[in-house]
Amino acid sequence: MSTAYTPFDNQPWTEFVNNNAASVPAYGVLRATGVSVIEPGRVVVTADMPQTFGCQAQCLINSPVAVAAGQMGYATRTGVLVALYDAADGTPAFGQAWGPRAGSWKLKRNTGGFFMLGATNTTLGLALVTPLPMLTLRGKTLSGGLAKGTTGTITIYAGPLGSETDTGQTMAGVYNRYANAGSNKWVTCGWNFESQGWELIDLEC
Amino acid sequence: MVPLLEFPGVEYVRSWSLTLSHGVTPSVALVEIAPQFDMPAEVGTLTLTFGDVVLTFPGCALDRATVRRDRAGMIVSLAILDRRWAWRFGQITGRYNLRDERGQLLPETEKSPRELATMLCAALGETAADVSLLPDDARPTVAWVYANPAEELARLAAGLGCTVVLGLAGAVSLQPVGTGNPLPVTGTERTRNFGIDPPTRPDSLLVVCGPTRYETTFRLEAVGQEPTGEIVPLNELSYAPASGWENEAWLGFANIADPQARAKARQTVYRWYRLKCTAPANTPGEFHIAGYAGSVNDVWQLLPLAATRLLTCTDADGTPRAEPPELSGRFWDRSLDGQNIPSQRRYPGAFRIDRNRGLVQFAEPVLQVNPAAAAGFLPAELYLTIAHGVLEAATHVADCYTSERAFPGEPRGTGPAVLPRPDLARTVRTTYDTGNTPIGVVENTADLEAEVAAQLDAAQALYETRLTDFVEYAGLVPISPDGAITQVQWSATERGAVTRASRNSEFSLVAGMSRVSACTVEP
Repeated sequence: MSTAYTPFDNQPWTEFVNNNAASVPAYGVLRATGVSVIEPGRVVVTADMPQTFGCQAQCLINSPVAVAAGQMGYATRTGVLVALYDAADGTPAFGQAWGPRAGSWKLKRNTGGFFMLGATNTTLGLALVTPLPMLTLRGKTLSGGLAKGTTGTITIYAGPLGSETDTGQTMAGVYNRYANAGSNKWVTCGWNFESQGWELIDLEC
Repeated sequence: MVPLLEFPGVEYVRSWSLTLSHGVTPSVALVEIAPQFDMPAEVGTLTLTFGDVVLTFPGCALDRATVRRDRAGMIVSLAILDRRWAWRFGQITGRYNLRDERGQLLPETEKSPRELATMLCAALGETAADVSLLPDDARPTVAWVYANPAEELARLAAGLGCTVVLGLAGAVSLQPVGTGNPLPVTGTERTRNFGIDPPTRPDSLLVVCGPTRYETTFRLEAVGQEPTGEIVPLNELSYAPASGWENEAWLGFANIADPQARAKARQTVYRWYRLKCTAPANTPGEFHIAGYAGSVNDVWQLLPLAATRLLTCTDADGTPRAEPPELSGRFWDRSLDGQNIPSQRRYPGAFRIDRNRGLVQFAEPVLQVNPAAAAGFLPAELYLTIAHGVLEAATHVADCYTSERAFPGEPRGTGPAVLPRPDLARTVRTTYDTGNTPIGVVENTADLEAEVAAQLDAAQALYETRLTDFVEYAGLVPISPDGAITQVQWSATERGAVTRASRNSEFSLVAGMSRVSACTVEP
């Protein structure tokens, strides 16, 4: 495609198979789950619907063609991307963080994974984004707190600095290697590249 | 009085004869002399003298000398050529009266027939040639590349109903065939023969131009190629998805299981389009070519396509060049809002045209977002404006502009004499409104008809019935050939001199005649 006249056709599109029971909409965000060797010489990425809050490197954006369950399509995460957003979260604005959440093919506001450049088609819910892996998140401990050396669940807060609100989303499996965290305390979690999981990196005393 | 022939170095002339004829090949003086020791000059002036009559022919060349023995003894025969011997040589280079894609003359190449003839005569060293009688309206295309000027001069003159004449005064002129002076009445006529020379003429003259060039806007249809090589519409492909192409992942057609078919899909689907019909129709095979009287039933009649349009633009170097084909339509130009372009516009990307198959081949998939659905794609709506010819359905021969002129009188059942003019071509460019509906045509027919008429006039002149005349005079009579007086022969023996002249006929085959087939002009 080197002779193509638009960047779109010069993007490295990767073949994937939709392992979800639902169809991936055009420009929808999806979650890579691995690779599959369909036949010798033909390897595809296996993909499914996002199942976590935000993403790091595992989320891809589908091509302009919807991909039915079990079918194959093309996705990418390079360059500036057109992606489907959830209009219920409002109209995207430059500088916002939008990313996947569990149970949706659409990008959600106040979620990590992509840097928002702006909406391109509010009727279709299309926006221009660039990948920006979510490597930290803020939240609060649950009522039971989170003891040192254990993993637990964090309630995720997001929003303007200092005015963050409860997203209603939680992050399970957060590891605390530091001091015991009390109930309903602010915490900052960091992405552990070795274990590909979250751990507390700061907490409210 | 003793008739004399003088040529440098020639002595003891016993008899001679010189026949002066039309054309570009030299006339020959046949001279019989007694053997002599000295060699005649190779080139010199030939002089004929009889009393007060002196005819001079400068620049003649000795062509050959032979010796024979008879009862009179040794006789040397000489052949001396008039100055046209030098016309075998020389060269001229130039291309003139070229026409652009529209069939219009390129002004910078325009030369009138008289200008062309003057150039040719100059190349022959005949700077005083009289070309004023040459018809000057036509603009015949000439392509001289180190060409022989004499042959080109003869061809040019013949194409315009004229002939090359070397006159007695030594001047070269181009004169209309059959037009000229009567043979003189001198009182010395010994014999005279009148007659007519009815030509074996055809019933008509038929000028046949080069293939007509049309410019038409075609609607394209998306096609794909089978692994076997066959090209068919997308939905007829053996590997078409069961649910149609609309939601197929066209970036690589990953859901086509067969690798060969998948490869073909990647290569051709949404990348290859072919002529479907003429705009604005939408029915495959519906072709209406403006200006073409016949029917076009299938696309093969339009192939191969030309490489350009019938429009020209001037490049930075000042050279007019044909415009490339225009490809426009409605498509998705990868706009980041996921929308098609709002209205028809020129396609900005790269493409090539397979002219033999009528295919447009793109570097990337060209398609449009299905406007009737939230998702899915359709082939783009594309229109190609391009020049092309038309092959006749019955004969498979390119359609050409022809013009036939019948001779008066009862037809003799001969059919026409065909006069090819491949340098001329009719052009018909259809113009369209913004909805791709034809609104008119631009033709070069008026210019073409004028050129063809000049050709017919010239050819017709060659078939006129002419009065012939032949006179034999005692003594030397200074008669100059012209468009009608075709041959003049002066001869002498010890018994005296004789002049023979013919009008609209030829009596001697001795002279080197030069007849170039009429009415042919190289493209």
